[in-house]
Amino acid sequence: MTTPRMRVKAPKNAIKGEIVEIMTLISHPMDTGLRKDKHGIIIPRKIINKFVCKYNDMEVFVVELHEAISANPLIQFSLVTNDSGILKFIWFEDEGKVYSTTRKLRVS
Amino acid sequence: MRIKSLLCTLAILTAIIAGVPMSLHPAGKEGLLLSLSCTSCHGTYGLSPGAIPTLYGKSRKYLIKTLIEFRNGDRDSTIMERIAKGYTENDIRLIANYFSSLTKKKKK
Amino acid sequence: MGAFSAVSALEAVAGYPTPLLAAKQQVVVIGGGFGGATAAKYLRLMDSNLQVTLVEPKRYYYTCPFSNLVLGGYKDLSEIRYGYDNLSRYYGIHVIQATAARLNASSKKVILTDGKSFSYNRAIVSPGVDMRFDKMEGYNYGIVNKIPHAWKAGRSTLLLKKQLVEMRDGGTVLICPPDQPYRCPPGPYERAGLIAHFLKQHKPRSKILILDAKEQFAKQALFTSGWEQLYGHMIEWFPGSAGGKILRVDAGEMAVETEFGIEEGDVINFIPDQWAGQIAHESGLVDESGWCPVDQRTFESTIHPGIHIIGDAAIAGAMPKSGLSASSQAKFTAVAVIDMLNNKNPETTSLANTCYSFLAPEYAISVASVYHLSGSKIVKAEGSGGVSPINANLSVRRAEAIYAQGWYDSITQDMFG
Repeated sequence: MTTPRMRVKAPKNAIKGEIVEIMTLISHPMDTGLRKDKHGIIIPRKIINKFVCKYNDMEVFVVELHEAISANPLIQFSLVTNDSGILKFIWFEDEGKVYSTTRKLRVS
Repeated sequence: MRIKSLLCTLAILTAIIAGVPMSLHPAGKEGLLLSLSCTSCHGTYGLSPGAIPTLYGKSRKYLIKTLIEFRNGDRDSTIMERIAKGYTENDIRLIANYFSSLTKKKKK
Repeated sequence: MGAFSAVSALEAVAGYPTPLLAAKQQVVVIGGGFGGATAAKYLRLMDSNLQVTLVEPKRYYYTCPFSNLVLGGYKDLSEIRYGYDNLSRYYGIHVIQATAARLNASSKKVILTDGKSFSYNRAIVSPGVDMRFDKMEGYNYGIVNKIPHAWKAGRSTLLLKKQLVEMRDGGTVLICPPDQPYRCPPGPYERAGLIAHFLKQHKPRSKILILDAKEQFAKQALFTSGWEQLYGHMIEWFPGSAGGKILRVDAGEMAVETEFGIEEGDVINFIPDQWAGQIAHESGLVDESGWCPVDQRTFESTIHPGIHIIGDAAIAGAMPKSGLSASSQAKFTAVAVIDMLNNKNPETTSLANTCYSFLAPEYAISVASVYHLSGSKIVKAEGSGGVSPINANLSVRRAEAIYAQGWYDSITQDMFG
């Protein structure tokens, strides 16, 4: 499978000490392992089981995801920063695959 | 081809009927007015050229029975239950009067 | 039964006076679509003493309903094309192939773009919608050949279809539906399914992204479960708040910009915001929303008396902007117009709407409702209406596809036959 598409809504600039809203979304089927295909064969479980956001290599937001989460999970969170840096969005898939993308944030 | 010839018949029929203004219809104006919503899907005068049942000239008893059954959910349907629920029993009687009276016109 | 009819017929003859021989009243109908063609025909059916003139610029009308089946490769454009010959031949309607520039409400005249004008006693205007080229950065009339909206059936439909046929396997189709109100609320989603049907057969590695201005859409649960069943994950839908909202169209780069970044499309079907068709604006029939306010008891303009507006352009209470809504309003308004011309209180009746949507050529769903007046407003009749059941099996979806075709055969006959 090709790399799933990751999308991020985050400001490029922020003011020191103020709240920054972040939204991120990954295009992923989130196969639960409970569904059958049209031949009656169970589609094996393959979900994004964890999402981590790092800011300058420090974990600032972590969430565990389960089968009940719909396809194309969307995650919204906020953070407060004092320094400029790099936001890294990391998605962990069953069977160990990891997908990530980054965004720059300038704080003044 | 079947549709073509049916349309031809329809055109001739409507041309004949067009001689008598709809509003002077013997079954009364109320039934005619209510029937206007039916004919968009069941064809002008309830003469359907395709898969939707024809209402033109159907017996009054049959139309009332069927519509009441749709309305009460006692008869299998796709959309007719959702439609029939929008009409009172009196509306249904008026609609049935109108369509059942149409056969007489054809003989003129 | 026989006796009942005979008595009724006698009563009718005694009860209704034969029409007086007076100067014929003129009703002009502007626009030959679902609203206008139906209005013209039913005016004549219900009062053969009326002189009815239908003004329509195009020689042939292509129906928007079923145009998505053309995109899906299931119908030919010629199968959704209709002319006006029957309306003039069988119903004595005076059909003029011309463009009406505007109506003058005070002199009760229609002025055509060629400068000619004629008088009317009452007018029914069914102008449909116009696309707005002034609302979205980067979107203008100059790019409609590159980014066709295909929201009026005809050439634009063929253009979009050609782009789909020529697209590489593995390409991305972007469909960008507008915010409410717009013509045919479930239309963009039907389109997504039928394009998927085409791609699945011919270019199975392709994707369809729906970048939506809205947070939810018509028959949503039915569409999303059906898409998954039929096409797996080929179709992805993004609501406005989660990457769907479009900030800019870039025809040069074949991309759109969203709050979540740039989305590139091999084919882009941007469906712009809409408002009432041009003549409604030229005649001063619209309010600040760009749509036409009407007295919902008669569809007469609340701005200019003597002019009735029906179909997509009208603000019609709870009724959606659909072909069948327009057809239903046309008949309702024809009754009101005839009563008003005879100085009678307009009689009102109920209205109805049904919208079928295909997810595949043999898989359709529907929404249906009955409407009536509550005071001066059109509301949904209590207890009526709703969408197809979510847990129905395939035979129900197949039956609805057959009835959808039946509906189409009937309504086009009711308009043009």
